[in-house]
Amino acid sequence: MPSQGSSAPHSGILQRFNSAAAWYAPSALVILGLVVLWQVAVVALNVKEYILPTPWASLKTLQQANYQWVSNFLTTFYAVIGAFVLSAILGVALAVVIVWNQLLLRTVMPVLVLFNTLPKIALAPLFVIWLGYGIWPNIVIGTTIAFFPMVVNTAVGLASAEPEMLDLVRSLNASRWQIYRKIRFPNAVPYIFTGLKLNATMSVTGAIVGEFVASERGLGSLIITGGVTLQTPSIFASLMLISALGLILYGAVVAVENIVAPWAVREDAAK
Amino acid sequence: MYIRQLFAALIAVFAALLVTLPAQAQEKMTLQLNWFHLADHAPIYMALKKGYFAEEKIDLTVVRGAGSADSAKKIDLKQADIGISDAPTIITAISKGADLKIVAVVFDKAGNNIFFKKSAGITKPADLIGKKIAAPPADSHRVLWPAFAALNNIPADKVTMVNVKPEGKQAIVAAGEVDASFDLYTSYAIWEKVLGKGQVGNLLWADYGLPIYGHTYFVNTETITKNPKLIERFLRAVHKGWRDTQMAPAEAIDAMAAAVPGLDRDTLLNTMPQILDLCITDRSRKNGIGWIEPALMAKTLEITFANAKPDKPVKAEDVYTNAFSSRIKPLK
Repeated sequence: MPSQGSSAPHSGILQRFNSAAAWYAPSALVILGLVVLWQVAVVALNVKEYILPTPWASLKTLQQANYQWVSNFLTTFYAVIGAFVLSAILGVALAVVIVWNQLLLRTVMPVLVLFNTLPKIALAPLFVIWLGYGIWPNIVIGTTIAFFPMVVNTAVGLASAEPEMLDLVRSLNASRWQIYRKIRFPNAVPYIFTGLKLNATMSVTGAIVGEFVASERGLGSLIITGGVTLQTPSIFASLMLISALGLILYGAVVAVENIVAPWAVREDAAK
Repeated sequence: MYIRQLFAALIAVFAALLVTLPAQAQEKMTLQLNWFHLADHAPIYMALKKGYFAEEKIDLTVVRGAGSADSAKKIDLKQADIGISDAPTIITAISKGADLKIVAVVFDKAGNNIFFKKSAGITKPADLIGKKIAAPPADSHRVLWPAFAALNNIPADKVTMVNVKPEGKQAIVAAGEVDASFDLYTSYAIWEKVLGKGQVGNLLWADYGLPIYGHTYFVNTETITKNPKLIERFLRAVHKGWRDTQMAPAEAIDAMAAAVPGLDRDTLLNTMPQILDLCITDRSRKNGIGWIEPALMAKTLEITFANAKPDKPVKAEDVYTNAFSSRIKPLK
């Protein structure tokens, strides 16, 4: 029905905004409530600031220029984005390859599972020795953590195309490539987005793990320095920025999903 | 029949209680270390082995640490009775409202130090200009560095600091990723193990004009008002341990290795000469092990706040007391 949307585009946008606001209002209220509880509890119980600062005291440190927030945020941001993009590309590519060939599926998958069971935090110090430190090694560490859910989700999506559909196009002499393009890939899109959502949060963790091991700058570096010098508010300010970074990346994935694959978005799923 | 058996069992229980009663009279005490077990903790185990803590009626539990800042927090939150931490970290915590007081020093001379490969061509502090230094976040070198740099005319922005996990500092220097690393002089043997015998270069900060206190024993101020005798008894026992360790370092390391699994006995034993150098000095020979020299503590305070203004003003007498000094002197 092509005429449906064009009659009143403004009210449509407004409606969407309203429904989005209604959707997010409860979670926003809960988060706000938790922050207020934190503030009130710390003040009421008279907790020393270096043990647990109030959210307000933590936010105020974001004004202090000596922490160089912008440059530290950007350092972490680049590592996170790098890990996210690399995981996405590697994950999808690897999934395509292993679903393409049964033998590869049987041989590569156990290796991937084995690799995923290794605690990356324990591996991170070795990465630093092998690759040095800085944004690139942090991207690699982030990728080792984030790409596994990408591979698994994409592979499941590619492999779970309806068998009847596959039989049908095979009987029509579709090439393997055509099957991928027309059947498997569209079927995998929702799975890929699930993988991307996991990837978004895990890339953040990965980049911070790298910074904990060795770094000159970045939010992870600020957390470590804040811990030693007992500047606890700066630790919480860094954590707030890291959470914001994770939320924005996650939100971006959801937004793209809404545009690219609106049919895959289910109202009851996490937005 | 049953009653007789029951009686026998009861008597056995009473007998067991009688045997354990003297042990019950011992006061439980927890010592929070600054770090995982290193050779400078061996004297504690020497004292345990020789029964000095039992003599003082202390049932001591030793808990491994996760850095000076962490120990300071734990003592402030009363999760342990006495702790070991770097003096500048405790002083910083006190300025942030922690209820702490230093009751003795572990080392009379601070072990703050920089290690590097001998081939790096570093022979004096000025050679560090333009270099990359690994700065493990869990110790006080970073706090003290600005003062040390200023004393030696090193512009702060001419040296790059790299945050490194403490366990990785030797490897990152060995791999050539950085030129040098902050680490206590007491770790000399560990560096020699990684870089090779005769390949380790170092600058001990105390030799280049940084008179400061490092590791100290400290307590919550509440312990000072509520149980001052406990502090006195602890220090007497632990300093007897140090006194005996000087005479028999291997025995002390063996005592620790027997109690703590996974220690590299030989490397630890090799670090003992440096550790004893820092602990047993002319000052400790004169005033007793652990004695706090007022002028040196005042200097430590000054250096701690040279580059970072305290949140609230701190006076030297707020920071330490010699009231519990054991006065136990080294034998040589």
